[in-house]
Amino acid sequence: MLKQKVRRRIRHRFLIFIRFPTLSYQSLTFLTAKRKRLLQVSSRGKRRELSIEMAAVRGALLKHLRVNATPLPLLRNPKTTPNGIFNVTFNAVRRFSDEVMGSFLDKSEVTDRVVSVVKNFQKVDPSKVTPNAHFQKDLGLDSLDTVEVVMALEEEFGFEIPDNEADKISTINHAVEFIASHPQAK
Amino acid sequence: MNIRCFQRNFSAALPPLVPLQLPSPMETHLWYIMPDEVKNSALLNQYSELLSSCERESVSRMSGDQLKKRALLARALVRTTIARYQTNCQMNPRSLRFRKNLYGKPEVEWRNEDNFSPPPLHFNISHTSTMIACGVTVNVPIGIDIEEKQRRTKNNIIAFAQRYFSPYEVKVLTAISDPEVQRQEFIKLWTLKEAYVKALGKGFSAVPFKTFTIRFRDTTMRNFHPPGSSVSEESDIVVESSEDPTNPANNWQCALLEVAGSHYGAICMEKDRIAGENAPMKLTVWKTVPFVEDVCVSGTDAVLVLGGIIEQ
Repeated sequence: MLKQKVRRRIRHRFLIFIRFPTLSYQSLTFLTAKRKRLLQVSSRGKRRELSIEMAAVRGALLKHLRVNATPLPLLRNPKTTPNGIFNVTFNAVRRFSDEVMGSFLDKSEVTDRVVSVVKNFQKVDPSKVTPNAHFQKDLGLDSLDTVEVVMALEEEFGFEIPDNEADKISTINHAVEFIASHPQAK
Repeated sequence: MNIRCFQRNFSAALPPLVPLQLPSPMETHLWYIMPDEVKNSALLNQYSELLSSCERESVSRMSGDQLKKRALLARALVRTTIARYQTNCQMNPRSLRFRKNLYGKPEVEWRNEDNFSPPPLHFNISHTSTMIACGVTVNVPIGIDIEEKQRRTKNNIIAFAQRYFSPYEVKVLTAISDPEVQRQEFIKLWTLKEAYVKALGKGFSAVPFKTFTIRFRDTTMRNFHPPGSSVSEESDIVVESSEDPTNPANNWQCALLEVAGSHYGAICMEKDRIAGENAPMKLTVWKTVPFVEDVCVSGTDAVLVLGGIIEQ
């Protein structure tokens, strides 16, 4: 019975290690505790709350850790690093997990970035660019301009906005809402 | 007797609208107005009287005088133009009602009343900062788009095309070495694609630009046209849908024009099955200022056909 629990815990930590190879042990236990609680919570609403919380924590941790992390070269002291032999897989899997899990950007940061992207457009009067600004009615942009704005936002945030979603983006606020709720936005 | 018939003088200052004959099948009427030439504020106020209270409110909510004027002129152009095509009697442009279809395409909402059979009119508008255009057809849906010839894009043209256009179109654009010509061809392609999507009336998400190709095809089979007719046979414009083979896009006819020397305009309309497969699109173009003047510019330098089989 004990062995099974221990085995499960090890496997759990191992899986987290794969996703976050540069995590310190402390951060790892913190995350796993939260995750454990997440799995235990039955109500969907609470689980969602927790998972958003976890994503935010993870995002904050990752942001902090990303600054310090360096990709591990393949043959650097495989004996001293605990997960030495898995270096290559880690980097590959880590990239994959970044795409899949990602993190949500802060709305006010997104607003600032979207506003500055739109202000950069020659055709646009910068004084009219407010978070509530409508591309057509306030900024006088036509369909080609709007498509260019979407393209510029894709470049800024590093992910592709599908056409059926781009169709609905007619104000700065729409753009912010969409981007802030998209985990792939950088 | 229909009460509406008596409402001829809706405003003491405005002259009555000159009635128009409906377009024939396979014919497009294109009306355009240059906002910079309309400066009379009394006239603009009178246009404002024609709008519904909803429209007036949305015009006033636009920020900036230029945008307000453009929106006002667009509504006034549509209302006066549609009102002039009434076959039974003069219709008050103020009493026209408009609505949007499921996907947001504007259309006229005809009221169901006795002794009034609504003409099967379809219209579509497009505007730039220096021109507002309205295309009218009968029986078949129409889409138009105009863009300024000198329009610059913020992004690199090929990057833009790779993101939004189909592979064949990207190939065609990349093959053009002169950047100015490339830019012009890009604008022409954009107007054609936009006109097609607007004609379909299902919104951009239903027909993403990448899912269809517009190509210019040299007309090898030249139909005989009687001498004296002015049929321009530049290369034919063909729309190919890459995703929906069940709905062949060859029942759409496209035309590409240069209007007033300053704009590229694209018109896309559904082919009338009765008129025949290879019948040319008939086109009449007017430059207008509602209530003031109409100038028919078809066949003049103001309208140059750049693509499609057009009879003016």
